[in-house]
Amino acid sequence: MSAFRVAILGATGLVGHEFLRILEERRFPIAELRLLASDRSAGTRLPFAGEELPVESARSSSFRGIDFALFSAGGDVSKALAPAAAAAGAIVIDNSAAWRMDPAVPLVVPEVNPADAYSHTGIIANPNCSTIQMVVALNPLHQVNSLRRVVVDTYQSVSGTGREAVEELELQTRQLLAGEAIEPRVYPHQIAFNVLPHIDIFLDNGYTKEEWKMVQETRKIMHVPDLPVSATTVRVPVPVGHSEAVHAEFTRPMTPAEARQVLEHAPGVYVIDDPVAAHYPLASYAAGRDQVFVGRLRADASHPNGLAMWVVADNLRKGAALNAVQIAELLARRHLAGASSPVVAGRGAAG
Amino acid sequence: MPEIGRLLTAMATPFDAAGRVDYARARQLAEALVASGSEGLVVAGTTGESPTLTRDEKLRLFGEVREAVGDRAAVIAGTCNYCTAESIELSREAAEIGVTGILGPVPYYNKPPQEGLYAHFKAIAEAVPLPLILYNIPSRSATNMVPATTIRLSVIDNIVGVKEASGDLEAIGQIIDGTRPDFRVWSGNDADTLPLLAIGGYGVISVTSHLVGRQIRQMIDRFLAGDVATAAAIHRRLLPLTRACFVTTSPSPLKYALGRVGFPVGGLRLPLVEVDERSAAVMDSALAPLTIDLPVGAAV
Repeated sequence: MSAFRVAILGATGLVGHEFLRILEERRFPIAELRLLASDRSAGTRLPFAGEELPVESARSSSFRGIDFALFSAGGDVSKALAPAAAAAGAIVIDNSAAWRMDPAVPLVVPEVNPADAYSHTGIIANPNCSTIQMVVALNPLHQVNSLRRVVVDTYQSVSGTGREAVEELELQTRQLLAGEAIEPRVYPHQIAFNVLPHIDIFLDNGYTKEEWKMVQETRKIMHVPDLPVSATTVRVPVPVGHSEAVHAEFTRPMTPAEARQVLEHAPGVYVIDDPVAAHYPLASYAAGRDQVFVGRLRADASHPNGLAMWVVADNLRKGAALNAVQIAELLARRHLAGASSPVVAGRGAAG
Repeated sequence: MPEIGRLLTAMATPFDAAGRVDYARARQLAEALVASGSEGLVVAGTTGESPTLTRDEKLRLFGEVREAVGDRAAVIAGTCNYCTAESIELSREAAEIGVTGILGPVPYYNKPPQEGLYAHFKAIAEAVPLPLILYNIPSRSATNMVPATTIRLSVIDNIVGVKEASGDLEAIGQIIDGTRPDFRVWSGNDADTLPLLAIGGYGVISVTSHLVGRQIRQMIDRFLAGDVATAAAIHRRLLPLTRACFVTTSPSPLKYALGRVGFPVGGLRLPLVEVDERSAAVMDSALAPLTIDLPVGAAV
């Protein structure tokens, strides 16, 4: 088989739209494309490769004959449908947090731990957007100088919450500029002209789930189970593009020049680092682009082995849809090279 | 004649850290180029550092790329050099591997007269059952193949076209005028592609298409659809990248650029060297405003 049957679950969402764009851009070999969504969103048609494809209601029977099922429909839907899709023979690549920390489920960023994808038993998890961009930037450095500690503060765009959040930002901005009253619906507080230190729910240790995802997922993806990581994830009034201030501590000192050399040759990374000329990664620049942008590389003034940097990426693309398609490409390539059938023998439903 | 396509990429040859050909990376690059607009790939041409590849490396590259792209793209093999006999031998072996065609640069260094150029290409065409694309590049060969010679050669059945890098639009116009309608003229200079299309050229064998393949396809498509203004706007937008790719000897700037945008392909083989700081800065400026079409983040 040289082309694959692909299903997209959550096709009408922001990430769903990016799946369609990216599959077409990268000419993923598609024999059939099935678009699935909730009952509420089904019935519309979406453009792909010059055609208009119908969006159907997702059922557990929707995955018969499917090779790759790209999921971006939230954790609950994923918990309900991923096992069924996997049992039907599809490889599920899930963008939600539902399966990420399941020991039987690989958590993959293709530039960092591609081989983990090959041990899947039907479900592969796509990491959190903020985690993906950070490990793409840190892993090449970690390979030459082991990481000892990572502290990260994020400035995350509203598209990470979905289309309604983008609309809320737009509406509130307009209302506030017109002197009108606003009424937060998506976020607990006003998001326009504001900064919210609250993404996802709070845990007993005072961290939010979003912050704890960064801690746990980084360890799993980079295979460093005890790596000390701390994160503060913050929502800012930006439509697309997540920015991160990363402070990394290494085993031995690493100069910014050394780091820049490594990163300039790193897969998936684009270094923008000429602060004198005001050149550094920007969310507005990253939006619509595929790379993880790294800049503001400097020695960390608070630690002899530390490095500080600014990492930006399009959260809908590399942070979600692109990473998932890249995982599918890994498996597709392996299959086409004859290494194995994409369906791994001897696996059962994952859960 | 098998379809060769309008947008061909003169593909770089990836090397690993030890300077060996990285065939796995070459397969990924080939796939990424096809995914971002290339209809054909020229393998082991000058951009692929043919002077410093061994015979065996070239043959293996042809095979790996052919396998990687299947029938999705034409594979044009850089099998010819300044020795007719060697060119015939390597071309015949490439034919057995299943390449789509071969590229024959005007012999360099030994400076044959026009009659020698004619005899050289005629001999290769008659000995090798593959489409042959002539390649006129006086800046590298020192010898310019004049239109009359190209026209004489064009009547040979399997000489299917010419990659013209002379930049001489008058001469190229004469070639187009004096050859049969399906004799194809590909631009050998990215900056000349649109002007060449305007006078009847067919496409381009490109270097910048490593990075902006889809945009070059769009430029060609828009021109063919009669939307010259859009095509010209794309041409102008891509000019700084074209200049940057040749700010110093190619493919050093190209390999630097590929690493910069997240698709590292290793370094250069001596006597070619990595770009100097000034050339790197020129490339950095050229890349900054562009959206890169090459799918990045591909992993082994």
